[in-house]
Amino acid sequence: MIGPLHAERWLLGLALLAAPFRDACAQWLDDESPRASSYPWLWEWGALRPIADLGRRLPSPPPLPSMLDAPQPPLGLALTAGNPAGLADDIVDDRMDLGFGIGRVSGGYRRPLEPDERRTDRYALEGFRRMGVRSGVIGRVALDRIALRGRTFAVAPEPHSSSPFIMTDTSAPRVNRPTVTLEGAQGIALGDWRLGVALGYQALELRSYRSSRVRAVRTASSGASAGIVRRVHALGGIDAGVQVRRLARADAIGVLAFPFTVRLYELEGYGEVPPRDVADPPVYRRRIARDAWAYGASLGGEISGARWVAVAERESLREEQSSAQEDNPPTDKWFTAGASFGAGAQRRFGRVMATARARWATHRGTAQRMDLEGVIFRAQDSRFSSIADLRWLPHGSPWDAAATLSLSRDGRTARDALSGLRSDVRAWSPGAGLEVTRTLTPRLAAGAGYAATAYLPRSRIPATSAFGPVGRSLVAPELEMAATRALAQRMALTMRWNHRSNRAVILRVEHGALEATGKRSDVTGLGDGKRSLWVGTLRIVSGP
Amino acid sequence: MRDSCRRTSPAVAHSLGLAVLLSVLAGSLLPAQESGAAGPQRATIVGTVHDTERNAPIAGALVTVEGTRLGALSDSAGAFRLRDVPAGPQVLHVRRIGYAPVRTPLVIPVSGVVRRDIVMAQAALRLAGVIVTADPVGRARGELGTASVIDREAIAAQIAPSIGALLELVPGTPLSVPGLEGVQQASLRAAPNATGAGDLAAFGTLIVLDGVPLSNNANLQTTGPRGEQSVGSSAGGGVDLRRIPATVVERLEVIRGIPSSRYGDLTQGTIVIDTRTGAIPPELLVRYDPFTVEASVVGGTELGRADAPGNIVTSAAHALSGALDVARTRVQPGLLDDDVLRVAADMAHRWTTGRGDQTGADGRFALDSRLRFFQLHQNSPERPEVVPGRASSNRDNGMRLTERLRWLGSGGLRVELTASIDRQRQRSTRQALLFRPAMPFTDRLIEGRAFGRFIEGLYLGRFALSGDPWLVYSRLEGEIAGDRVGLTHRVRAGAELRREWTGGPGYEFAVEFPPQSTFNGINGFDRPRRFDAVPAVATSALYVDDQMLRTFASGASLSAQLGLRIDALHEGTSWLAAPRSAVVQPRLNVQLAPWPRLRFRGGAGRTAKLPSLLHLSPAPQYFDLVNVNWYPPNPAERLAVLTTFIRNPTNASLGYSIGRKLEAGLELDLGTSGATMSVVGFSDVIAGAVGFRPETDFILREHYQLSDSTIGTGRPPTIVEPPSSIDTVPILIDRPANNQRLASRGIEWSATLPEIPGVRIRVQVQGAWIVTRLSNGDVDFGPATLFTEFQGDSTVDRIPYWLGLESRGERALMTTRVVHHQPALGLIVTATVQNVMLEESRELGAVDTLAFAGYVTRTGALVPVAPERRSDAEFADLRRTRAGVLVAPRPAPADWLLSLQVAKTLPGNGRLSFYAFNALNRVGKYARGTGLLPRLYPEVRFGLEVTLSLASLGW
Repeated sequence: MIGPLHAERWLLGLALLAAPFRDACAQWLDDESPRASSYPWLWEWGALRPIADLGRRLPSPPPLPSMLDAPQPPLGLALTAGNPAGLADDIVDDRMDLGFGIGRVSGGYRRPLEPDERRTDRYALEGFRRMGVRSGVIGRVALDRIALRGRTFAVAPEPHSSSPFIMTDTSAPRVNRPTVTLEGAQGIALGDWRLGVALGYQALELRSYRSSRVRAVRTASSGASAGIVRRVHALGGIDAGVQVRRLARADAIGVLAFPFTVRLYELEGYGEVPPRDVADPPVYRRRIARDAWAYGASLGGEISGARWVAVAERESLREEQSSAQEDNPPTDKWFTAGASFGAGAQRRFGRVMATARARWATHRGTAQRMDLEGVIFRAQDSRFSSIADLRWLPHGSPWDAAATLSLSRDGRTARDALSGLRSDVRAWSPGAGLEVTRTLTPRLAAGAGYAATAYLPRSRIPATSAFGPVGRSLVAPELEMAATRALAQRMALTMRWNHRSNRAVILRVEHGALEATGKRSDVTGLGDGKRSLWVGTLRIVSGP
Repeated sequence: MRDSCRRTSPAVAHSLGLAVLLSVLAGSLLPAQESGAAGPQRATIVGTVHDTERNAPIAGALVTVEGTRLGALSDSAGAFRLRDVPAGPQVLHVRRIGYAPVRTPLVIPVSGVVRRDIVMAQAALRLAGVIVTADPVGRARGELGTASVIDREAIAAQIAPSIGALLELVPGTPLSVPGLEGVQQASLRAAPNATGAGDLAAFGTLIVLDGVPLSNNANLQTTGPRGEQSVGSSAGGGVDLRRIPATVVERLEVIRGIPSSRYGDLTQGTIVIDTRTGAIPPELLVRYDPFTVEASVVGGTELGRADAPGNIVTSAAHALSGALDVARTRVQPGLLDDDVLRVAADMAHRWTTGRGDQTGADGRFALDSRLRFFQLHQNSPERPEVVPGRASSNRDNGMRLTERLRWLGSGGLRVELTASIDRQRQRSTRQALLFRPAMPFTDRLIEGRAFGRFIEGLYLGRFALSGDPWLVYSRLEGEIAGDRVGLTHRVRAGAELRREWTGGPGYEFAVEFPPQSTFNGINGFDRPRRFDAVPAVATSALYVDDQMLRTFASGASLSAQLGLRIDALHEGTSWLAAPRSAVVQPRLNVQLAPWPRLRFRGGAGRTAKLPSLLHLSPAPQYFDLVNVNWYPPNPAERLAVLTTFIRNPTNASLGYSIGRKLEAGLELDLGTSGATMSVVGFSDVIAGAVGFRPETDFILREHYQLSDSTIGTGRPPTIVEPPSSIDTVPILIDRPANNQRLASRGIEWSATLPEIPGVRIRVQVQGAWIVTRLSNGDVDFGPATLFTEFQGDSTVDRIPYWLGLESRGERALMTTRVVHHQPALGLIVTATVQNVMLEESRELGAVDTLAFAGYVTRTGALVPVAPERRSDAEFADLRRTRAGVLVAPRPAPADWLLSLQVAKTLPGNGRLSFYAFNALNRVGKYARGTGLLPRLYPEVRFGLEVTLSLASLGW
């Protein structure tokens, strides 16, 4: 895997690693965490990837190829299958990426737990490096300064995870949310063996801003993964590996209601919940602890000139929420378990480089309330996503072009045992994108791209009248959106200026939008119009 | 013992000091100059200095042996040679502009040649042996006592908005949230307890900044023992460490053991701070976390320097450096608008001339000038929608000018004259909405009887404390080195003069709207007073110190440091006045190294601490007795007559607190791997620590008949002279006294394991088990209300009192640092795990109904009752439980905490650091049994820090 034969592919592939910064800054409309990305393979090596939690995502268009800074998605056991041992082969050069970006999401087509407006400043440093002939390392650190304005009912930073236990605060203060993310991984080759470790840490501070109702949330997430890979020569040089991951997270939530009363709702599915008025004592606390494990196997190799990778993982998640400050407090619990499978292949056909990826994941979850016997909420989530990336790289022409085709299917069935309500939403999302770049001068290049996805759901959701007042305003609109056809689009303009042979300055502006195209219901609180995204990034890249 | 020390007569003190000074000088210095032979065997260090990335020799690198004046510059091939290096553990310090300094410990044999090649890198994180923790077996310069040495590289690796956070690298110090909220004090070798042992320990900790002590003695920013509201000041405690940003510190020496006699005005420990000066490559630091933002610029340049052959400086040279640090911490953002803003600026100039010594660092004359400014503003503005009326501020500004003139003579003679003037401006305000019931009121500021008024209702009580502390300090010190009868001596002798005073408007408030609703009365509250009426304090000191070293052919060595110091507190405000209190302080440290890598150490010494101005000149207490309280419904008919008494609680016999320090331990140095191990046991006792002693007394209260008590006349009655009766009212006077005893004993340990080569991980463990007892033998009246009710109820003839109260704190703390270092990446990951293995606080005092010691009468007389008579029937009214004493131990469960730091080089010699305090956001453990306190940790605090070398950016 190491050597000139693969250098070009890996150089191209690793250049894509600049994209995490850009894409994480952009974060599609509903992404609440900087780790979320529409380029999932770029995060496969990271230890902070979600485990057993598909979340409730909004439709998003396929990623643009971004040829000026990320010409080719890589394939490898680390960068595709998430086995950090693969970094010993996947990293072949040195690169440093320092960037600054600003982003803004706004618009009325929003779910109830999303803020009216989200502004993000991001400062990030990312890089990877080959260390000798045996080892490769990769890492990044990012500071996100996020400001949530308008209605911010959700107290926890990620209200659209799979868990039905969601704390909401009707005082909805303005919120600032700085977040620091740190990830790193190293893979070492020892003969036919590869060993790798990845560590990740993320800390988040969410605090109300100039409000008499104080909301303070601090979150720490830590992740670790380890993997072993062995090259089996008897099978034609196939790399076979096993990997294990753990992701732990602790949220400390505090609401101070002095001198005014704050009304909270602790959502637990589709049922109506009583209000919790915080006044005396004026402090309300809640702890959320998550512990998730994943283990699996990965394979990689080459066949007929094509590089391929496959991975299978078993995943489980345990979440406990408590409001009592005592030893062994009573807790609300959410368990999920499931599996995911992925595969990818890459091959060059003349002047066209083709890359295809697919991933399927399914999880079952059950929720238990501290004061009740049995399961109060069940859900089954599944997601299939696939993407094909075709790049045309002619010799001697200032023009390059690339196209992406994507197809995904999301499914979520849920049943609330207390209210008897159930939902079943299944949606196909076909999408396509095109990007064209042109070298203007030896140092200056420009590119433009456009991508779109149609969201085509088939659903059975409860009638709005079946919900109580709280459910009608905080739960039902989201189900209505999930059941409504929509169109997601994105377009981007990129300028690249090569300062020296190995340094470049990249300026990029991106706009995205999501709007309903199907019939809309009259659910109270369902957003109208569209939701849009503007992102501008400036990066300095050192390396190939 | 205490009294004998305090009351040492001036003549005796002077003669004793002079005799010791002369005898030591005569015994050590003069023969050394005469003989100059039979010196100990010494070794030579040779080596080269190379660039780690280019593997090229580095010329002009300054290689010195820490704590000595040995040094050399590397030649064009990078080679250096240091001769006559004393045997034993030494530290090589290598500096070169454009490179990160290197600090390499090594053990020097008795004789021979030691080779040590040095590798330097432009970024410290690329050095193979970078040290990011304190050197647990290091020595402060010129000191033999136990110390932790934190050098620049370790400081840069520590996330520290102020030097307070650097103390986390000292064994036994808990991890703290990196911010500026709350006063930060140094409390060495003391476990926390319920009654403020930490403040007492902090007050007894000496902080020396660039050779000159910082003082908190003249800080009067407190409302005193009767005040009901406090301000954010460290008055009565130690220096607020927030004023010194860590970014300007070059080196920190924390002397936990017995300091040399050079250091005075301390009872607990010594912290020596050197700020950055000289030719510093300009550097910019920016730190951001959700609560704290800090920016700092440091830089310096050298002008006119020339190196002559032989690496001896012959020409005059100037070095100019400066630093500016601005930091802001928001306190409880969202809820409050509170913040702390600090601005600190340093300007330093060094002028050297003449032929210098081998170090090449200095000429024959060197004059260091330093101008330092800081402001520390803590603002808590009113948020009417949260708490109407409440607001406070605490604003400290300070300016200090220091001049140090050093002359290097022949034969290792060094003479240094230090002079410094330090002026601060402290302004504190606080206000709150208060409610008082209808009560007779007087605003008299002198003794006597007067008609009062009745006032009541809600009002805004506010006060201001405005002090301007000054410190003038000077020291003349001489040092000479020489050999005599096989011993290498370094003798230091000096004299100190110090004068402290304060000024400013002082404690100000409108008497009609006092800062406490129970202002008038028989409890003895403060009235406004100007601080410039507080007399100055003048002290002087003489000291002599001899550091001796004897090495043996077997490789063994014996070191000792013997010193004597005399401190005198003068009558009045002048050094020319006779001392009113003086203390002789002998100090001894001994180190025996039977093998260069194994050292047994021990020490004993006596130290002394001056009382603060707060105790030397306490505020007068005002007692307002109500003679007439006539309160009919019609305000026009009301009559109040009050008599004001003033008691001065000044204690003329108040003197120095005495510290007795004892320690013994061993150190093991396992060679070039860098592995070390040390254990030290200690006992620190402060006898006669200053506190407030409740002293009983009485005043006479006159009762008057009224001429006409008919209601409805429309005018107040008149009083009938003479008084119809007189009774006595017992009172308590808070008199400062040397009445406290603070005793700490414990064990400190540290171990640095060799690096695990495959994974480049190094583990350092340090910890301490400390038991602290704070006790006094004073009278105690149980709950606060007991005596107050006794004062007001003339039908009660007596109430019991108790004697003695002890507060005990115990803590066992272990901190483990796991450091993963990848020089090729310039990456250091440090995980710090702190285990609190044991933490307990309790008050000790007899609480049964027979525990009372006697009773107090209405004339304030204390009548003891013999234990065998306490069960007699006549004392039945005295047999009650002593409330207000918490006798149950309050242990918190053992628990751990993880903090994380990741540092990475940036292009251009920069550094990016990430940090997270309580990285896993652990809430702490809850107690499983009754009576235990939960251990609740602060939530995760995280941030980023970027350091950029401006030089590499073309500045």
